[in-house]
Amino acid sequence: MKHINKFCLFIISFTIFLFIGTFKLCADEKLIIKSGSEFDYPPFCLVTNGKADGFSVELLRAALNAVILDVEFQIGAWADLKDALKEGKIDVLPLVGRTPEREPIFDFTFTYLPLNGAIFIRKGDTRIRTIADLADKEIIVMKGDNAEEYVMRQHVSPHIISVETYTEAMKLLASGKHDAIIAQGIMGLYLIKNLGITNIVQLEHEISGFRQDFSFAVQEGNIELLKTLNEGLSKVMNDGTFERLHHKWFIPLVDHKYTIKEAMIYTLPVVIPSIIIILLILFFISRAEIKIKTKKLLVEIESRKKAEIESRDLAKFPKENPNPVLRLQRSAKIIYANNAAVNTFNFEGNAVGSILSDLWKYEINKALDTNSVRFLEAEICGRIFEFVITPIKEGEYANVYGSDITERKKAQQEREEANSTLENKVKERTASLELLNSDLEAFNYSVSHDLRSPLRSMNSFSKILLDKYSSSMPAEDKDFLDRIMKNSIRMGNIIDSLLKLSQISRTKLYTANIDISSIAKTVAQDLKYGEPARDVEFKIKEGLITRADKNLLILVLKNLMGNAWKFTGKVKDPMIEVGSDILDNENTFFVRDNGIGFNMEYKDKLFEAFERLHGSKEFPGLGIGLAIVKRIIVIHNGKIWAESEPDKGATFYFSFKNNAD
Amino acid sequence: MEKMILLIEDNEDDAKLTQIALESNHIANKLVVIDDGAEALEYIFCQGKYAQRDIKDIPTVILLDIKLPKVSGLQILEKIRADKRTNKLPVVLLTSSTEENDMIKAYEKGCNSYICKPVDFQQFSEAIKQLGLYWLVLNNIPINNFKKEALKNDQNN
Repeated sequence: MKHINKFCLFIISFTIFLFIGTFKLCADEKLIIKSGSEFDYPPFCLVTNGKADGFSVELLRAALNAVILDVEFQIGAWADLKDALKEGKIDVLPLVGRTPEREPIFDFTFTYLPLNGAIFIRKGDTRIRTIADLADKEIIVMKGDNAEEYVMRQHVSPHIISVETYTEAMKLLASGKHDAIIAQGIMGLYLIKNLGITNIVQLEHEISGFRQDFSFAVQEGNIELLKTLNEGLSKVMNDGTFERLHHKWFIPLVDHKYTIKEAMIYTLPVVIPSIIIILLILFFISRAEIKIKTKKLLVEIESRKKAEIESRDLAKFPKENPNPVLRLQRSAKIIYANNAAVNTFNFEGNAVGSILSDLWKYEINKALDTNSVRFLEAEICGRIFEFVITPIKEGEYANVYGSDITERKKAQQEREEANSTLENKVKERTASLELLNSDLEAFNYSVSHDLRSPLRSMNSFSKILLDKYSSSMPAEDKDFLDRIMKNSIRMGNIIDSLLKLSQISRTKLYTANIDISSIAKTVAQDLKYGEPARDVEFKIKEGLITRADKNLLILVLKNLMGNAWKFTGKVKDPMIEVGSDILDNENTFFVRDNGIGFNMEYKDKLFEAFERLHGSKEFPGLGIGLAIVKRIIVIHNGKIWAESEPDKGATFYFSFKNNAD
Repeated sequence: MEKMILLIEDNEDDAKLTQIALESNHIANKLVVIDDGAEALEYIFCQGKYAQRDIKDIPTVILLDIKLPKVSGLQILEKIRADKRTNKLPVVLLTSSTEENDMIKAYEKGCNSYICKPVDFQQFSEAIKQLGLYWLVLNNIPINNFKKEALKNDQNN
């Protein structure tokens, strides 16, 4: 049993060893799949540094790597490779278009790239526009290529030229042989680019029925490899490898897909009408603008013509000026002088070019240096001129405008002289008035203080004597002393009146609206009170108002009504009236009485101081009252006059300039 | 103390007439007459030839003319009013002037009364009589205050 067990254990161990070993051997020994690639079918199959390269080559390698298989490419012509696969010399081809002709000999993986075939022609060949145009043309195709199968199948043309590679086909066509190539589009474009061919273009015409669905192909019946390839292909399609390879091999050309011509074909239908429309708009706009500009130009020409005429007229302006007008340079050299200037300066010969005095030079320079207008007064040939010097900085000269101011100057001088004479006169008068005034003040002072004392002495000592000796003195002597006393008193009164008169002249007026009627009533009452024995009728008009100094107006009424009272002393039914009248459009007041009146012959003497028209015995008085009245009226700028006839009473009229307002 | 009148008057006649008027009206108070402004000040303030006079012997009233030699009546009035010892003295301006200006100045400087001397002796005499009666009989002055101010002044000096 022991041996049996040992044997069994050996068998089991060996079996496990074999299994693991086989498995390990399989894993280590990567199976190499044989494949083939063409010389030049870019970018799908091509040769780089003697090795197979291109999109399909790389894709096949990646798909096989994905299922842990390796691949080995042999390079050859397409037709040979096709045969090699058919005969089982190689396992797989990376780029085989699925066509009906190939279905019986190959098995295909699923399509990894469907692409359209295309027609390539020489540039500028206008005969070929569609596939139909190829019917009588010589068409080059690659031997065994889908294109060959397609042209045969479709009987595109009886003249088919089959060559080994498309490189050869391109070279043939480029060198002017045959008419067109039918091939896979992208591959063709790659070849053109890689070979540097410039005279072959792809016809923008899709060939219907020549769609190539590219797949990997294996020998008919190699189902196992086909399954493996599909598995690998789907792996690389899902893990992004396909995407990366596609990017690597196709993008550069796809970017170039739109040629200038294509771009132009797409854009021209829009661009050309746009340009035409814009041009039309521009044309109309510029036509309108030209019209406007033409009009403007015409207007400008017109206004320039006018301006020219005006400036020609204006140019005559200084020439026609009756006052001297000159233009001087810094050196006081004349560069222009009008007729008036020539006459004024009395130039001998040509005024222009003459040089004026240094004074002019100084003034011109000063005006130019300070850039300010200057004034110059000058006497020329007995006339006085005033010149205004206006600097023109840019021209470095000055315009000089003169005017004859002789008369004005003379008048001004006379006025100044008259003024100064008047001023002197006023000064003199003021001084003499001031002197007079101070004399008058001193006189007044002296009169007030000193003149009355001697009178008082005369009066008083006479009185004392009279009182002392009244019993023993003869009547005549008493009368003498009496006369001394009376006269001293009279003289005292005269002095008082004189002082009053001079006081009035010095009085400052305080005017206001004064009710003459009420003042007259008061004065009348005072008069009646002073001599109650007399019966005098007073007629005083109500509402007499004037603008005057109240105290002085009282004095006026006192004097005038006092006179009336006095001179009605000896008439029957004495009457005194105070009223007003409009005389010579002036509100005039009056004091009227029915007294003894006076002879109008002496009316001039009436208002003079110390002039009396009646004897003092008959009507006592100093002869100063009316003088005071007149003085008061005069300082009010008023008027006073009297009308009378002997024994028919008198009327004293007076008015004030500042009447009541 | 006897009541005394101080008459400051340069016109001899007027002074004489004042004296006669007082006498004829039986006003027998002492009358001091000074005819010079400067001398009047010496008298009032007890200076110069009046240095021995006692300032406490104050006049009951001063009758003052305006127009005076050397120092005018208005200047004297000013000095009287400026000194505490005399500023309460009654001063009556007795003058011939009826000028309003003179009156204004006199009152501004503080006179107690302003009398115009009439030319007529009867009126003059009446005026003097009234003056005497009023200032010597009716009117009162603060005599003790005068003494006090005089003493105060002496002590300060």
